[in-house]
Amino acid sequence: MCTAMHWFKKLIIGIAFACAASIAQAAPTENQPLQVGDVLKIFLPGEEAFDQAFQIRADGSVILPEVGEIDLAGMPLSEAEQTIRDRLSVAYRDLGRLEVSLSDRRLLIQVLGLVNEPGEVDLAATANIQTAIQVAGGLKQGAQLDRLQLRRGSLVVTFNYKEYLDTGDIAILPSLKPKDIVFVPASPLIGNVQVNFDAQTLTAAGDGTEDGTAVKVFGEVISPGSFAYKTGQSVVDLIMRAGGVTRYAGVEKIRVMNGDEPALFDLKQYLDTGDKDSLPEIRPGSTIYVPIRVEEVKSGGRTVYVMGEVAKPGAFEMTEGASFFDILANSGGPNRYAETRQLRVIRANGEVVPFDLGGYTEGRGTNQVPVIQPGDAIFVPEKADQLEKSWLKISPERAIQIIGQVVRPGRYEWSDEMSMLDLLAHAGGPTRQADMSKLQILKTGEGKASTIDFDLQKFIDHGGALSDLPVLKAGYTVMIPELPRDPSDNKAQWVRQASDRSIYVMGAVGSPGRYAFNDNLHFLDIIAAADGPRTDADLQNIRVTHRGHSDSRVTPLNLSLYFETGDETLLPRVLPGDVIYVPSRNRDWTEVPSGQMVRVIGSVGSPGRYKFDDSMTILDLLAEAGGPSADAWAEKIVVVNLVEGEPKAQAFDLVNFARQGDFGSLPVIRAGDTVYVPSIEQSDWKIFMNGVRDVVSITSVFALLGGL
Amino acid sequence: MRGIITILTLAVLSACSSPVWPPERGGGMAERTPAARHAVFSKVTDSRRDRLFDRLMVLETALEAMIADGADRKARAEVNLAQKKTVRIRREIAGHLFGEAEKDLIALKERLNRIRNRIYPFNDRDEPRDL
Repeated sequence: MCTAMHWFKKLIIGIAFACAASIAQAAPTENQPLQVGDVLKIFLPGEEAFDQAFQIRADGSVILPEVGEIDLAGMPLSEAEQTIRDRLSVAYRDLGRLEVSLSDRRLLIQVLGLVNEPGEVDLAATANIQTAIQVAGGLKQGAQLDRLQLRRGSLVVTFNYKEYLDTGDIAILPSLKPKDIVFVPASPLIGNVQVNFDAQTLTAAGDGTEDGTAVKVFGEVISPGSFAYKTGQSVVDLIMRAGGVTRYAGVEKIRVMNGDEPALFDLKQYLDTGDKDSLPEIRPGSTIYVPIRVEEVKSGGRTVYVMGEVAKPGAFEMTEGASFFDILANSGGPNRYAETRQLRVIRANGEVVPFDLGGYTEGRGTNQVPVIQPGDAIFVPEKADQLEKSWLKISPERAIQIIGQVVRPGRYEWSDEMSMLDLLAHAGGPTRQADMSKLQILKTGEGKASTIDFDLQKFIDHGGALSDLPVLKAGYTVMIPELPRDPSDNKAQWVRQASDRSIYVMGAVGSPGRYAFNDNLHFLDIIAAADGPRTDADLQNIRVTHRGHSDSRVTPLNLSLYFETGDETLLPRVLPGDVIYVPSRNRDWTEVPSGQMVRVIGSVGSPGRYKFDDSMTILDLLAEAGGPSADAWAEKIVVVNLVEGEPKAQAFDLVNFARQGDFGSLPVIRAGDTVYVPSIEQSDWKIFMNGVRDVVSITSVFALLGGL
Repeated sequence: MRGIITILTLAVLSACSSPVWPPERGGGMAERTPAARHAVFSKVTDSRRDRLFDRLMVLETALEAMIADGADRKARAEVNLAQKKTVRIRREIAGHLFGEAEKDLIALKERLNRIRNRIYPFNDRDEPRDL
């Protein structure tokens, strides 16, 4: 319908301009009225001012010498001659030989718009639109060729100059008449801002006008734009006019809008079948949209999926006999971000099969290449780099925690082929404050957690089978405890020190307190850490209490004997939890068992309790007690031995010993015994003399009474 | 004259009220007194004391043998204590403290056994030896 209207309109315009052209192009005659552009020849002998041609201007007048403007347009030539004669008669007397003739007929029109030299142009009477444009300097870039206008008074005729250029059909061009205006419009694509014209870009953007007839092509085409509608164009022509489709175009679902009628066009099917009936109709103003390709969810009975860090993830049709590596290779293989140690095959039934591709390629055939079945998915996870900020990249099933005294405590990816030593090395190793003798490993599983201890220091010092190392698994936590920073400052950290890991050192030492040591440290290490015994320490009576047993266990230690003999077997094995007590020699006397002392009483310089061992004699004891005093009865020193619970006394004559030096007379003394040094007042002679004195005194009394 | 005799009698009687002092037994340094060692070989000494000395001599001989085998290097403290124990026993025997000497001889024997096991380690097939 629209096409018929177009032809009808074209026919009417053609007829109208054909009639006009036939008149304009006829030879000028005497009776033909003059028109703008006509060139007159005025013959007036003797007047040189008329030896030139006079052309009727656009306003229909000519300018003659002496008389000025005279309107002549529309007059027949005879009438124009009479008019000229009348006007010249004012200035010239002899006009008898005046003759006016039409020497040439020309077209005086205006060419405006996008031409290089817009303005009035003087054309031959047979000139056409193309000639006029040429005289006006030609078209400028950006001219809308299919919408040129010819304006004649109020009449505006639009014609397709491009079609004329395409076909050479002269009938397409309207005929020209004087005073016509040819207007060359600008293409709407050049916009409203004057810029340097890029013909290539502009052309690619389409050549459609804004009159509603242009066909819009957009979407996934190389050069979307509005393109001038041409009869007989198909959707394929217009897509090609837009440069063709892009690689992302969804060619199966091209949409064509004709007014309110949407239609789908499958270009792929058309190209496959060549069925022209599938081509939708294209009308003026149609819209063609080429959508982006939407990936269809590929699925099927023989589809396998490859996801994650591979070159080309996607779904693949599995052929008979295709292996894991065939499928992986078809997906382009793992890319440089792939964690090849942690591949997963997700079975259709939900089972997950891990596969260590890296280990397999390195010859560590610890696992079998999984057999791929249709419906399976191969997942290649992203490599968890050390520099990766997000710790969430590693799932709990693949991570192990190491905390405490290591250089870089944290959460690390774990593989079962690694050992505890690998983990420690990866964490930067233990710090100087690490207590390697009691690593704690928190095992998790089945909703519970349990702790095991491991003496890594012993393992490092003495070696051992690698199987002795605790087996770590992902999800475990390894704790490296801390040693006290300073043994003398350990009180400040007592809270952080487990009770069962402490050794208590009390009594006469430099720094009594709680100390944490491992099982390899010696008794002397502990005493030395406590700044050693004080000068008043009773080294012979150190006691070590072993705790943590059902019964009471106390080990006496004669440290003095150790220093004397150097016998290491004297030193007890001290374990965490034990108590070391170093008594003071100045402790309260009630704390010293009587069985360890010898009591020295009586007439000595310093009576009291004295320590005594079997290497000493009574002479040592008396010397220690300050020796017998001046009133001591040294001949009768008494020693009371405790024999099988019963006292048994013996005497010792120190004076006689001093005279004779008989060591065999020294009495036996052992710890627990008592030495008594009597006073001279208790000697027999003294008692006798006292008796004599008393008798004499009494006798004297009686004698005096008798004398009276 | 009778008066003088009376005064002296009263004075002597006053001395009778003084305490009875225990006898001297000696032995306090028996390890250095030849008499004590000589007594071991005496035919007229107390038989109990002789038996105790005999036992002590046996143990001292064993101790000296072990010292010759290096006991004073391998179990120096035990040897030291054992030597002190022999001194004590010798004093007790010389001082007639026989009951105490009996107990200390047992203790000395136990100590010597420990020293012996230290310097002569036995394997699983051997039974611990006793003196």
